[in-house]
Amino acid sequence: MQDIIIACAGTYGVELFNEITEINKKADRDNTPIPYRILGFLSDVKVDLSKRGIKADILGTVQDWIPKGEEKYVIGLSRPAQKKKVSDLLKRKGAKFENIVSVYSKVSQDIIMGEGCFITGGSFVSCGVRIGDFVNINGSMIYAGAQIGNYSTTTGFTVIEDARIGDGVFVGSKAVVINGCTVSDWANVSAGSVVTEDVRPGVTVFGMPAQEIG
Amino acid sequence: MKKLIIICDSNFALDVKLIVDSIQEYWQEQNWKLPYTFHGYVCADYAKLKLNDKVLPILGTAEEWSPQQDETFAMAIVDPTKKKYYVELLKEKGAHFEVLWAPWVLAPLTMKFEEGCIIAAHSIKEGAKIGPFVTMFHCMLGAATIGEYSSIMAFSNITTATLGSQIYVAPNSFVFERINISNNTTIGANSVVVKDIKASGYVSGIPARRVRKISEERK
Repeated sequence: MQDIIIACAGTYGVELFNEITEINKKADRDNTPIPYRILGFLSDVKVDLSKRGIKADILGTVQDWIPKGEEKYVIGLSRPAQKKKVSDLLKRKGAKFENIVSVYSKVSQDIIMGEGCFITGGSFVSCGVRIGDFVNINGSMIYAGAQIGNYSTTTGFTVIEDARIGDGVFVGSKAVVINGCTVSDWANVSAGSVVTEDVRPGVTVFGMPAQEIG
Repeated sequence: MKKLIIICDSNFALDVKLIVDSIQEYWQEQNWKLPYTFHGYVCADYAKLKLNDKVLPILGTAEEWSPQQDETFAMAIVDPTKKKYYVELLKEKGAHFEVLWAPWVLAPLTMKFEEGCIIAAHSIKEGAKIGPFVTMFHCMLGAATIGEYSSIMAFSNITTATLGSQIYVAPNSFVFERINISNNTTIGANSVVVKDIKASGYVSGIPARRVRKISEERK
């Protein structure tokens, strides 16, 4: 049984908590050993977890926490810059991270995934996909052959066809990235946009077809 | 036991292979026997299948392939005109195409799919009429009629429209009720179709209007 500590107790951390308990419930129903035990949350801000419907402890703050023992960490944040800050902090102190794949998603066996990723329910990840470290995939569809870099997030109902997505990219809801495009590092793809050409690094795009803003 | 061969021209072949694997898992759980096993890929002449420096088991090109008695085929080409070309090529040599019906589809029990369909939709309601060689990938249907050789891609919703043949519906699009769409149209990504489409061409936007394709505008 693997011990798990969730860093950051916002709404996304609560979602992580729920998905891990669903994984444990399913293992219980199938009569297989229960894989995870949640020790608690780390939070810099005072949070009342009973309001969110959860019973869990807050073990300390993210800044002062020192990892010890064999527990593994998951990061409850979705913005790429915030994820990078917290993961660098914890990595310097020697923490190790765990991949969480939801029970309601369909992920093939043939993919390469880094550490600290989280794939929520409703997503469909096909064969041959390469996913980096600390990537969040929230209910999106990723076709065969795509590549997603470190610290990126994709939100609900996005479709990523045969494309290359770099580090730290935030893809908004209902966006479509067409075959053969590259979205460079730290770009933002706004909600509802259709990306038909390559996107330069650090730029926000919007519309169909997607054009730079600002 | 027949050998299943997937005909492809892009990485979409691996998505179809994922469907085949999930069908095999489901049939094993129910203790049924699948009449075929996966054998390999046959790709079109112009395709260069390279997947993260991993080589797929490609058995040959589609133009030179001669189908044997113990082989069935699955059509993993998405573009409707190319689909029609390769289907007719292989049918002349006597090929037989398989229906792939994924286990997560919610469809009425009396539904029957014609030859060569790949059905991986979310839900299909009663009264839907689906022609041969239609690819449906993670979409939703009402009581629609879909012509042959069409492909409907991810997260799109066709409520009760009638589609003609050789239509490509790109991801995340929406078609209103009781709309007629003529043959050979492509509906662009993230578009909402509100009125009938009476001639073939390329349509996109909210609401959907006739548009020249971007690559043609550049020229």
